[in-house]
Amino acid sequence: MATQQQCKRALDLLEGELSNRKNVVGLGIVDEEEGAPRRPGGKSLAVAVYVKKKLPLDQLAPEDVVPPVVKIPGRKGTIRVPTRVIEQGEVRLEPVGRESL
Amino acid sequence: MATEKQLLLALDVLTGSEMAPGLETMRAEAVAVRKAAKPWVSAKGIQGFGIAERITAGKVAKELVLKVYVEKKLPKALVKNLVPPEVEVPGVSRKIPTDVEPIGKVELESNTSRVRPAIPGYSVGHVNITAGTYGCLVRRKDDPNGWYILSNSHVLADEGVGSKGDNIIQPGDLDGGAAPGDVIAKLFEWVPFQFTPSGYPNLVDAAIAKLGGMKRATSAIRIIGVPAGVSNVVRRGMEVQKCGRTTDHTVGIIRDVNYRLALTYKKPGGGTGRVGLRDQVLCTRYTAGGDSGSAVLNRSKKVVGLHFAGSPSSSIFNRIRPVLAGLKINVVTGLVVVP
Repeated sequence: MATQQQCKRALDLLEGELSNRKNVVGLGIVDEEEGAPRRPGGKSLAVAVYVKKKLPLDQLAPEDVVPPVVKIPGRKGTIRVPTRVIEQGEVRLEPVGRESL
Repeated sequence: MATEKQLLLALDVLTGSEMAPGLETMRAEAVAVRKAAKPWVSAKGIQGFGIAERITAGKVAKELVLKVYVEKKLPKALVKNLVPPEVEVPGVSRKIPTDVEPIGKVELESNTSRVRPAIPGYSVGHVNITAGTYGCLVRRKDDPNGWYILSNSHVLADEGVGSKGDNIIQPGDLDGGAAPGDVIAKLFEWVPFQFTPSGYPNLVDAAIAKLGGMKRATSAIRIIGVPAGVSNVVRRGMEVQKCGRTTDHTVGIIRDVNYRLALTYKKPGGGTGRVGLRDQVLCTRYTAGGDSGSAVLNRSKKVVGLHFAGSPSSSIFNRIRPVLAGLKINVVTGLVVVP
């Protein structure tokens, strides 16, 4: 469970580290569980790690695995922010693609 | 007079629908009729069949007939396979009257055609790119007389490697547009990209081109209409709409309003480089290649962003505030046709 502010801070602190992993195409903030009812205070958010393709853990090098929780320093100690890996495919600009002709 | 049911049966027999009720018992006869009619049914110039009132000398009669729609009416002497004035159909006691009506050539409608005035939602582009979408009509804060069209940098400015004054054509090159005949505007300004090995310092992929001379354009977006204003509110779960060159009018749902990503763009002076973008808005997939530059609006028709990228499962837009700030522009919210 994390708030928008905590997720934002996690993104700012960890964007480099998270985006360097294999297949990662983007980062963001989403509901911790898809379709979950929004709670008052918005305390059910997660850092989204968008990947080209979701791979089984045994096909990933340990340093490429996205941890289920990332830790950021808070005023009262460490804050645990959940992550969600979301398959997005390859991102492209969207003029008409020459290759699709 | 033939009843609608009889006409429907005739339509099924002539156009070969196997699903026609009652055809099971007379398939052989029906097939023979269909075969005999084939020369005129599949003749050049035929644009379809239907059931409607007969039109005689421009007047709509009460009589329902089998309609044969053609591109244009030709003198009988020039037609090889004339449409018979009546057709006999097995299982129908009376002869079915026909009526030939010219409706012009039927074509797929797309937003890739040349339109004047140019309409937001239609194909546009820098002469060196394929084609994107004319997003919306804007004005520069420091130019009370000029009118500008807004789209992506990768649509109007060739990703920022174009030069001020370059020709912008409607439709885009891929859709058959060419200079000088289809030039509607000249590239005026774009937000330059910051190329960095890491980080996400960029906010927009946006450019404007200035309309000039008799280069006509309107502020009313195809299907959606004139933007009601601008809104900076984007929330997860919110519905957005756009009208673009390829997928026309579609609706998406916002999934992430803090999206950061890196893409490869052309670098001024040659080569390509990494462009990290932050504060992007990720949506469900509601666009396709060619929709780049579409204005993204909320349900109350306020512009919230500028569509620019996507993946097989998502569509991504820039927030509108940094687009407007970066180019010092305002969205035109009244109905304007630039003369």
